[in-house]
Amino acid sequence: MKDFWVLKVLDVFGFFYRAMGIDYEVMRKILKLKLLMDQRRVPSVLVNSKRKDQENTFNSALIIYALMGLTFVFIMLPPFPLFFKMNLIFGMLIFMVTMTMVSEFSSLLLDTKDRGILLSKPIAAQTVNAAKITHILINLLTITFVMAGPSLIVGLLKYGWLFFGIYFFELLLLSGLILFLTSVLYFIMLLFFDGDKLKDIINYFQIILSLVLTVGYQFTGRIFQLVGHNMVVSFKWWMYLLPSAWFAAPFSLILENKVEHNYLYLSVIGILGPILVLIIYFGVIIKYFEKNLYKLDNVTSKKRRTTEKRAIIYKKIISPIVRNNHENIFCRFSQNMISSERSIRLRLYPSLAMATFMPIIIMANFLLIGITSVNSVLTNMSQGAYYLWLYLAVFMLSVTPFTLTSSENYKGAWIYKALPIELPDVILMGTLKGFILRYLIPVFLLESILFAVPYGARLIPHLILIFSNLLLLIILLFKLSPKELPFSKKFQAGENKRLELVFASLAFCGMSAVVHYALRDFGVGLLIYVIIVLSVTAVLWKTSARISWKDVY
Amino acid sequence: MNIEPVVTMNDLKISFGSKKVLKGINLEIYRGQIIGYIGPNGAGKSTTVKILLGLVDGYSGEIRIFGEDISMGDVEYKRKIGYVPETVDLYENLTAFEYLTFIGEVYGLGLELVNKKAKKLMAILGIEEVYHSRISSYSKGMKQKLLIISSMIHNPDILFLDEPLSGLDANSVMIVKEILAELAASGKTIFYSSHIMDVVEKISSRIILINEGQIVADGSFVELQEKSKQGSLEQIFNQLTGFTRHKEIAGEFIKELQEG
Repeated sequence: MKDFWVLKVLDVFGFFYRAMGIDYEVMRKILKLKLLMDQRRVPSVLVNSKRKDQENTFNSALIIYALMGLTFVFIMLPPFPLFFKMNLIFGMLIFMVTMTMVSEFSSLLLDTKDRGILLSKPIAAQTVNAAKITHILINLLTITFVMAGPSLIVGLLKYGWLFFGIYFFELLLLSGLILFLTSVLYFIMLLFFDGDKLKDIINYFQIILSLVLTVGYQFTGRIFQLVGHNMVVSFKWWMYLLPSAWFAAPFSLILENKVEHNYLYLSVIGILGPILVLIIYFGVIIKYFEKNLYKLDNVTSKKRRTTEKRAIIYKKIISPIVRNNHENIFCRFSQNMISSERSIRLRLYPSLAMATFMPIIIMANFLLIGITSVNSVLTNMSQGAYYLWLYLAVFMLSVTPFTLTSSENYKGAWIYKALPIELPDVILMGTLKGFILRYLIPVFLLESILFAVPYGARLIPHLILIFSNLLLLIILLFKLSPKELPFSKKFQAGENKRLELVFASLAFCGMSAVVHYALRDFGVGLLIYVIIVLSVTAVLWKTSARISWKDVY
Repeated sequence: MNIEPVVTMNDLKISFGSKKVLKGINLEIYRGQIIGYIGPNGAGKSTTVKILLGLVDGYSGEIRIFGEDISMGDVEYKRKIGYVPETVDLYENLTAFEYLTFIGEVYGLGLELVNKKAKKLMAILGIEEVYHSRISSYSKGMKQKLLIISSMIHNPDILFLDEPLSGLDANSVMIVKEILAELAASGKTIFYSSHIMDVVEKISSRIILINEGQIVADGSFVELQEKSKQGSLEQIFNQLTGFTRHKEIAGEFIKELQEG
């Protein structure tokens, strides 16, 4: 076991722990083990990457956080008032670090396992708690400083050491505030929800985080257009409620020499607030927090007759659509699996959301340049064939079914073989159909409605064509891809072997868009094209290849 | 007995890599028998059961269940089989409602019927309050009860149970033992593997002991007793698997604990 440099830094503060009656040597040993385990954890920002090198995942996550921090540099560069800039930076920083804390480090804050392991040994509860908090603080400070790193360096070069000093000090305060905020957030959630519900909520935080990361980049370039160029800072009373304003005020006060009451008060709040809040946290909240943690292992369950009724009604509805009884069963099975497994949701929902909004965002990026009124955008849009951007969504949606082969409980897959199922194609087709019915069709419908705003009803034939192309592409990819039983693989095992299919899908979407574009105003041609695509799709879906048990793996 | 056997294994062999796990098992199982299938760790007990269910391929020899050769690809026989695996691997993110209705429906029961049945069975075993909770939140005993229900919900004729009592409390063990005895009395066949010798000794009508991939003993408890001149099944087990060093090993272990 190598020694971590963080621990050597911590050794300097050893006297502080000892003064508080904590067995520092033992705490250091616990901490060392925790840091070692951190290195083997896969963070959710990396969840979609193919990295197998377990040792380095934590470091690569840090690189991603640093890249996210580069965004702040772009805010730093233009000649806006410091108060405005720093306000924006701190606002984003608080949001990003809090989200990261909730999604990545909730396991640390909510860990109940270590108590079972450690408290059965002759170790004081105080020491265990100290190790826990120190561990969280190390992670929190690492993320905060890595994210703020690029802007810290650029700030140093642009504004000098004084800026650096203020920024550095405020980042420490900010970390304290975030620790408080996340704990209070959990504290409140623990009061109202039991363990399973809480895990669900954390999962939604993770989904939002990964969505914000990807979509956020589309917008960073737009920020300045959105806020306008002549930015004048004027005070509003509600600024006192914004922590980002507290932290931004000292920069104006000291660096720009704007000695005003407001800046002064904000700066004082910015220093006293976090300190006060930390005192409250260590003094009061932490005790209640640890007491409430037991709820995590509790599960309350209500009798939910409606769930049963809904399942029966749903079965009646989809029976005419999915006729084969076994396929029908696997439809419902796959929908239950997707909606209840957090790891699948974490991979699937951001892709679905991106597929929904990406075409709109990209189109908006094209259209918004130099245009001010909404109406002119809409008229502009209805002139062109912008709906072809929907093929981007088709591409993104077409590769989502690949996710369905993996599950955290992949070992449960023995059940497929123990059941009397003649051929596994009903399992594969049922799963795929269930996914399309519950997820792809609603996503596509939502998107169609968004696109129908400027075009109106005349978009319907185009939408039908695009949707048929989506169904065609999915069945083509299904036939081309290796046949794997659903939910039977460990996550991250061999996710890269589908790369050629992703390219095939991209090529298909590109070509379909070109053909669609060529025929867009040619009514009869378009009609014939629609009929061809529809019939090919129908034939391919009907003639599902007979897959035998030997072909699946 | 003059009746057709329910399960026949003929010279069943399998190797994983260079390791020969089963070295020729010959066995005939009849209706109404409770068979205790015992042997040391790694003797091939679970592997035998997995082959019978079609979970493991690549064996040689012949297996007939209800007279049908299972390698022919006809899976109808699985409709009459229930299986409790050794490790509790379930799709734990599902609720019992979702999992049990799924399994029952694949066995051909209607959704409403299987829902009613599943709820009833859970209530009888005292776990109906978690019918709509995720399986991941269950205790070990609750999961085991769920597995037992899922293996019997379609009223199968043969049950393959791999350590079915693990994690159950003493009262539940009594219930399950009674269920097995009554099922066997009504003509079902139970093929049962376990490490707990007392239980096997008490409930089995026939005991089969395998060691290193081969059957080393086959008969009722009384027959085995007579043959081996030993009092308990545990002693018979030790004798037949050639294990006599337990005192020696325990001594070594304790000596190491007291070191330093």
